[in-house]
Amino acid sequence: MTTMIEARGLTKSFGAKRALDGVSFTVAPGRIVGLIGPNGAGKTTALKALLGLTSFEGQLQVMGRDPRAQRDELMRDVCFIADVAVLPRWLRVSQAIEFVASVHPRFDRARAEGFLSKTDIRPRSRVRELSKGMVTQLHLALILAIDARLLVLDEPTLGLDLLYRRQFYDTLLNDYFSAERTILLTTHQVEEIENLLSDVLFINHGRVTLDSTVEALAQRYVQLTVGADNLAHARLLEPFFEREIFGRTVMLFEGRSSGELARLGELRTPSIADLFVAKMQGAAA
Amino acid sequence: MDPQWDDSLPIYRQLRDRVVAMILEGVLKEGDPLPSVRSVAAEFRLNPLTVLKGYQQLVDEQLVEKRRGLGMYVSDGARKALMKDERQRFLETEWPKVFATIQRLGLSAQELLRTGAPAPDTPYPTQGGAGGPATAQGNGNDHDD
Amino acid sequence: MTDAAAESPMPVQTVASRPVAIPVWQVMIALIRREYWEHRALWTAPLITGGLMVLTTLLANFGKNQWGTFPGFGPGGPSADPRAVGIMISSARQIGVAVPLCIAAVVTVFFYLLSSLYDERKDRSILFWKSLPVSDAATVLSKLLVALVAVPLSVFVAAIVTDVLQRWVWDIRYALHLVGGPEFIWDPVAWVKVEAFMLLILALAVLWYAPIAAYLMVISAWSRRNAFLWAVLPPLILTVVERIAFGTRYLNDLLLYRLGGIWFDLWNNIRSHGPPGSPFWKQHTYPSVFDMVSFPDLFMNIDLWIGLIVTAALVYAAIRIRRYRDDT
Repeated sequence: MTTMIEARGLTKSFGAKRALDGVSFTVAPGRIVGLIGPNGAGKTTALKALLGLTSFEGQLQVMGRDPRAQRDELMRDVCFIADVAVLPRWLRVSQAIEFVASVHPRFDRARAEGFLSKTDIRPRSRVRELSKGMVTQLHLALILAIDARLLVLDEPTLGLDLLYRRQFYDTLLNDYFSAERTILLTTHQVEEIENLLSDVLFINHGRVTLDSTVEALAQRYVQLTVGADNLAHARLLEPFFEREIFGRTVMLFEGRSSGELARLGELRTPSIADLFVAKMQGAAA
Repeated sequence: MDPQWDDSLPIYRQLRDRVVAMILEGVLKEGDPLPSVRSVAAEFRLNPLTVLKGYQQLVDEQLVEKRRGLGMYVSDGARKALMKDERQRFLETEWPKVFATIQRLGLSAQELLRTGAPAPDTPYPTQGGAGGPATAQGNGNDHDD
Repeated sequence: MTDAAAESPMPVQTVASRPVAIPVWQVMIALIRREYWEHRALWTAPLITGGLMVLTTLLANFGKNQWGTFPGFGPGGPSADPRAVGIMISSARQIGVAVPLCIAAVVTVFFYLLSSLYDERKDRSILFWKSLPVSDAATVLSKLLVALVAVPLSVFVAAIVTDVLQRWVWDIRYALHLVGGPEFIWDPVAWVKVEAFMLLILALAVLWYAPIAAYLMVISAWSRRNAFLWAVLPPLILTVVERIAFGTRYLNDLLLYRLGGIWFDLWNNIRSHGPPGSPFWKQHTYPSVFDMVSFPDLFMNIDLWIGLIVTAALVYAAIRIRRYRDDT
């Protein structure tokens, strides 16, 4: 399989509003891709399209299959957590395991039980009796015990406290992720995952505004911190973003070599969070 | 956000630097295996590819070697090579500045050795010793080249 | 940071080691079990109804206000054979036990079907179910099977169990108090025949009401708020509109027919088998309950089969709605 996901001209409208507007991107196997965007940018719509949960126009292939026509087949190789709050409240933990074991050919029951044994979750509890963090632990335990090639996570750590969030990523990286698996996740907390990502996709107003590997970002974008003396000179080089802090100005440049800028101040690679803010504000301006 | 990473240097380089520091301190001895890529990735919440890149850097510098089917191990002579580089760097770039300061302040060698002695709970560096096993304490012991 | 022995990740299954797809029957059983986990009323309703009936019998026979002999139909005409009358009364009670159970089941199944494809959209748990490789067709069919096969069968079994328990109560009382009468006669052959008879009537009813069940599922899959009102009001309103606007009662008659037609049919069928003018309660003169009705005629009712075709179409609609609907 050369690409896990191939999207071309993905479009989805809700009445007059275009949730997705000609979105195109590719996801290669073995990557951890961050789909980053503000609320209403189209992240969830894009994920739903990938999972065959919503109709769309354009071309989309997930592991070589069209999610509209071949959804049932696709679901054997994809796992997703749409939201941490979707486990049915009446379901008991033991029933959840029992059910998934009965219907999913790639579910490893012992593994799920192993994950759960490290938590305080009791088998006879119903989902409504568990705390939010425990529900996530349960959902994760189920999902990570499935041998899927693609894992799609939509804001998986939303509303969870730090301990659960750490555990989540810990388990994800330690026990699940490998070169043959691919993870696509969306989150608001960019800082939390930015070191985790191998690729980023920025999306805003239904359009992809950045599509790059993290490595390429380091080549392409440069952050310069400059004092008042070099400010005018730096501005001549056309930064796409500028912010003042403590009397110094932080600027972001795209496509400029560090040689040109080194003389003017301190250089560093911008964090993904910084880039995200810069691109969003740039778009709004 | 992991507060340990400095955004002025690529993370894979910082990883490399950490491993180098551990080798120099003797925490990682020659022939010791490096922690697995995924445990480092999980511990610091990094992409395994980043960790791999850092390790690859160490392989390229011949400080670490890949053993088929087993993993990454600290190469023999890695510490020596690193010490050599560190010494050279210290002597060429840092020492002249310090020396200039010492001269400027008019300090004598005896005064320096007395006041500059390390804290009581760490052993003094052995002088002219043939090099015992490295300790896990903060200072590196001298080895003869 | 010096632990070298890391846990190995979950191994990825290669094509060679990939497991075979799960057999359909296993998936269906898992789905049906899930329905029973979610809707306790499906099994508690028959249990409670049956239990209440047995309790009533216990009280009636051993409680404070005991009944004497069963207020039966009476000896019948001059040619009445006491044993035949006894068997008939016994059979009548055998069937009678089923009536409360059926009523409870109908109410339970009605609300079950309305919530079957609705609740999961309301609490968004459909996103969990859809994250598993279970087709919409399997899901919808499993719910239909619960409504049209599992619950009716459990009602049938509950009727048998209740009937048997009641008989034991009477037998005990008979043994203790020597109170006897024609109603305490129990003929195994007749009993089995009556049970078989009831099973066939049950099958007939299930087939007849299948279109309504499917209709409720479509409403359940489709309505955004208050499935109950959407299920009940439109037909009612349309009926009234039709009467006012066109002066006709086609829709009215169609709905009434679909709701009760099968019993009407059954009644006519039974009547047509007796000697002209014989009242229903004279049927005890027949050797077998099966002589009372002609099942082939009942099952050949063309409307039954049209109804089944409509059922299939509605089920298909429900599947497609669940598949393509997006209200999360």
